[in-house]
Amino acid sequence: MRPGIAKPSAIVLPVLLATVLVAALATASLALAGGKPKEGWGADSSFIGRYHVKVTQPGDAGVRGGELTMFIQEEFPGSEEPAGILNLRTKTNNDVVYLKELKRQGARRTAIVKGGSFLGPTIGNFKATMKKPGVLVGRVATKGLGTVRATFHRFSTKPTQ
Amino acid sequence: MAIRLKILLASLGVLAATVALAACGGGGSSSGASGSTANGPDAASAPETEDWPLFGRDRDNTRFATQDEIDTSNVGELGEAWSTALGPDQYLMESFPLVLNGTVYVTTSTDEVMSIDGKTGHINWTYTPEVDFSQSTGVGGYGITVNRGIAAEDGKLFLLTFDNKLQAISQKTGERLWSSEVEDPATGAYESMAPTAYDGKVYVGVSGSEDGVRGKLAAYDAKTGKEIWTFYTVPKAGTKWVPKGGGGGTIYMPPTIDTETNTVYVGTGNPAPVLVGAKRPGKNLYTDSILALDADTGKLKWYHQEQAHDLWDYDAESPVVLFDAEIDGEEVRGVAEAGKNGLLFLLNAETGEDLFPPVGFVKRDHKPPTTKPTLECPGAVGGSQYSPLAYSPETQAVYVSGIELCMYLKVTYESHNGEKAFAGDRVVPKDTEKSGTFTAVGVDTGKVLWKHDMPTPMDGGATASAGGLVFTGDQQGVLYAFDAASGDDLWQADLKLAFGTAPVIYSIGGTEYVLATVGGAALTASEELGEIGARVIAFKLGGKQLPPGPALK
Repeated sequence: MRPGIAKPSAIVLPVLLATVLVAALATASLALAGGKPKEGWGADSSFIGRYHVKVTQPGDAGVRGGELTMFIQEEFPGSEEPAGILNLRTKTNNDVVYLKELKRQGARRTAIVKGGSFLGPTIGNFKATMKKPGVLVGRVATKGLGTVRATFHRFSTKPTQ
Repeated sequence: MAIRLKILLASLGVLAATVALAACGGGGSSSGASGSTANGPDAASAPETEDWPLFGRDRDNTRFATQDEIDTSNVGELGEAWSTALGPDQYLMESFPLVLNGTVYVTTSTDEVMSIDGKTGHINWTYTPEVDFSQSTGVGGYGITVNRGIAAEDGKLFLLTFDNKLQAISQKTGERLWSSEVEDPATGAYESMAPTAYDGKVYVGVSGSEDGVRGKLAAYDAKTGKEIWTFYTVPKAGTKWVPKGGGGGTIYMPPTIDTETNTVYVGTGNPAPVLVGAKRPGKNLYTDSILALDADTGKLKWYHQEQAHDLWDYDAESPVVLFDAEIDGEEVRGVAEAGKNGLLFLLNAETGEDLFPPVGFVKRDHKPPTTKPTLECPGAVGGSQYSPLAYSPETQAVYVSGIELCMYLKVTYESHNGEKAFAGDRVVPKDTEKSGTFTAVGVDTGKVLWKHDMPTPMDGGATASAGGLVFTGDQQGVLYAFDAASGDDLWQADLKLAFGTAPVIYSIGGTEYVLATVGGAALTASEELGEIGARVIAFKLGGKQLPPGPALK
């Protein structure tokens, strides 16, 4: 055995370890990006306010347009939580549904959709990509409306104005 | 922190000082300007019509149908004539329909008005207003929108939308004729009530006591939508007893008009902040009250406060019923209203004074809330919410829908909404009983004639008929027909969707229909009491039989 044989192994081992570490970090980083979603939709300034809904796919009931209001819900002090009210208009109906349990993962924004009120039954879900603060592209799917695809453009950063 | 503690202690001191008033339970009454004399039976109180033309069918708001084809002997043959769904993702149904010339007019919780053929269930037209629902971020963030119906007069239908628009639409075509804003939505006010139309005026209130909205009743010109008069139910915020950001006394149901005396009767809601009384000393007039106003001027004739210095959210929310009774040998014109405090009030319509002591119809055990949770019965959504009474002149009884639902109430003092919040927590214990009552009370005796313990909270009201029946629905979706005199449970149908309204009755071509609008109340959703949706179902003798609900205890 050449004495030098051991030497390379002494160099290779740290390199290998470093490689493994880098790989692990990369994997962890990837896992973080695509892993467990975080609560909420991020900074309030990025999403709170009122949005015009421009429909790109009208779904089963023929949704023509609508409005989304994102706000901080406060039933009582200490219960603050972001939530949304989505009004989708068909030819004959104002369908109002409620977004709760907001989550984010990278640019992805999701919520469950409640019917009747924020305390009503879960009737669907909301999935969108935040292209930039105040601009969402995605879809809402419910039992009654089917899958409605739309872009959401914020026109006011104040939920009630 | 120390400052907060001082404020807290100081507030509790004032709170304690006001407890005596509040703990008395009842309020008081006062005659204002001169009222008219009590009158006899109003021809409008039980008109012979095939329709259901007003919120409570007649001007006295009795919900008593003169039809008698369906009666105690044949109600078992009642079955489904037709059933119509009101749209995709439509939930909750607190809408009380009208029937005009055989056509049903019903609203949805998102303010559409639908014209439906009363014989077939076919939707003739739908009026879909553009409504700003963003204000439902208020009301503690519950986001609940409901619409309790429309009024009609001279070929026009009058609608209040959630964002405070009074709109007139053509009864024939559904075309909008005019629209008028009755309150700035930025105040937190919203609309849920049906208006009342009478003699060229449309009477309108606003909702939102919980958020400190200042209550009012206003009259608008039915032709133009222009305001004629406004009566504010509480002083302006920051004046008299109303703290900055406070208010209350808002209105949730349509007023009732005595056409003989030209008097408008209406009930008002809680004061705000809701659970904290320290910042609003005194009785907090005219919250939680029955008001009698001059229909032409809005001038107060009298008030009767059902809950002085309310600390529990005990609105006088349900609509007022007028009746004529013989008491101690004298003909008396009376007023009935069931409050959220679990008491039925029977008052003299001329003076507002009690005809009898208030009649309890649910469990009552409450004390002023503190910073520690205390169990309060009824809870803040107990007693009788908006549910209209029915009154039968044949049995001389009113029929009361009761909610047995206690709550833990707790006073808090911090809020990110400033003082525009409950200033307290309201929690329904998980193991609490959620049931109801249905009670017949004699208006000429003030006594309970019969009472049913119901399997669910009763939120929707009652309807009586000359067939000797009284109808009501529960949160399981069961429609009941009781013998109005004895209370016997004669018929049931399981409609699978929770009730948030009472039926209406009409006839077409000699066939009597009982129409149920089902889909649940806001309470149905918040307490998970039953299935929610939006559907209109008509029944007639010989229709398709539906399975009954579970037997009553």
